[in-house]
Amino acid sequence: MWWFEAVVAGFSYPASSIQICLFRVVLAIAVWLKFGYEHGRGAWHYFAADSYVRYRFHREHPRLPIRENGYRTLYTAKFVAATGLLIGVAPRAAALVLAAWFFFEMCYDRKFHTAYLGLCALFLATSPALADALTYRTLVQALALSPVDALRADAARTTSDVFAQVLLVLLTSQMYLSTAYRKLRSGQFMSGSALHSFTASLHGQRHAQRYRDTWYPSLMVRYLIDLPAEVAHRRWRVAATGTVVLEFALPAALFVPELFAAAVVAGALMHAAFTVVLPVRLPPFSVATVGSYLLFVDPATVTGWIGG
Amino acid sequence: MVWQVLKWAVFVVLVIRMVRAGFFGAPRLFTWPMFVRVSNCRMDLHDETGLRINEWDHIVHQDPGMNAWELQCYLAFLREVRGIRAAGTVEILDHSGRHLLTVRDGHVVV
Repeated sequence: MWWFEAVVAGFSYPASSIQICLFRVVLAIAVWLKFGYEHGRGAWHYFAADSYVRYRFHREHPRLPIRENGYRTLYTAKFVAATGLLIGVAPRAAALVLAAWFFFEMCYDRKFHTAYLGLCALFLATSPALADALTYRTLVQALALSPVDALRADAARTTSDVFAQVLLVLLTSQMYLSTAYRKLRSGQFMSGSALHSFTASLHGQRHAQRYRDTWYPSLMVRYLIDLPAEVAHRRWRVAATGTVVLEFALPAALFVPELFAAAVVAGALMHAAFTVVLPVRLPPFSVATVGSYLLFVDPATVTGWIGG
Repeated sequence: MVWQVLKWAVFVVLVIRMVRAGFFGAPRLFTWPMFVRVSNCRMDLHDETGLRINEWDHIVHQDPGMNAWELQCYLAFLREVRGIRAAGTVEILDHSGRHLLTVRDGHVVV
């Protein structure tokens, strides 16, 4: 398996730069999605003087003297960094700035998907090949020459440093295995009560929310939410068991070439189901996670795909 | 050479950390317990004039979960920043069960 070979070889393995660069673009899109919806929900004002977010932050972190101006400076920097990561301008620095932002964000809004995006950005920053392909230069070349020639030139660039790819594959695998293990050990998750309570609560309070987070289809409300608890739990139990089985199986399946396509489809469907539960907040996480599947492919196979 | 040693050090530390945090102990970085616990909070609070307080107008995220510490923090925010001394009831449902709390004059009293 290429991942173990790369680790044994000191994180060295012949690879086309386009593989890690494609994930760079996917992560940047995920980050833009997150920043975009948060901005639309008033994130610019989170550290205003009368904001609960700021009050809670200072109460929990009294030694971090961040006020409105400091927050807005960081806020602007994150958008600049997200753009840099997307178009490949100083992408390593951009990834580091984004990682720093996400860890700061965890100080006032602790979310698992924020931690995942932050760790992805941090690990991505260790790759020396981030500016090799799919950058603004590719666009310029595509306009000057042709898109095929521009992509061919990008595909020809190679790297042997796969440290970032090794870490990112490790992260996604660990995330799936850890969450599956924790869910399996949780009686409330496996019984279906946690999922029912979560969705029923969000659905019940949907009209009170200043920024609405859920739009559950009426079929879902009828068959999974708005019914006696024991019936709902029994139905959610199927989804809970399926999730745990898939999350345990995905990391291994993604490594097996014969199972890769099926694993991608299964993983994408699972994340689509997660996104139904939280349709506003989870798409960035789903995009980044499913995008990371590409990094599981043996770099030699990718080189073969692009005709190297 | 230094970079290579550093990579190995980072890798080994990460693997140890990922195993420990991912599978043992309390949630921290590299722990992913998404949806594993019931966490729910329902507030029925009003200000001194009887006007209902909508917590969704203040909190940053849309999670219904709010534990006892967060509730104390929220009530302190209403008192100190908004000048509101809330009253009413708060129902918290968490892994240890259902807790019904009474809020009076901006503080939890039961």
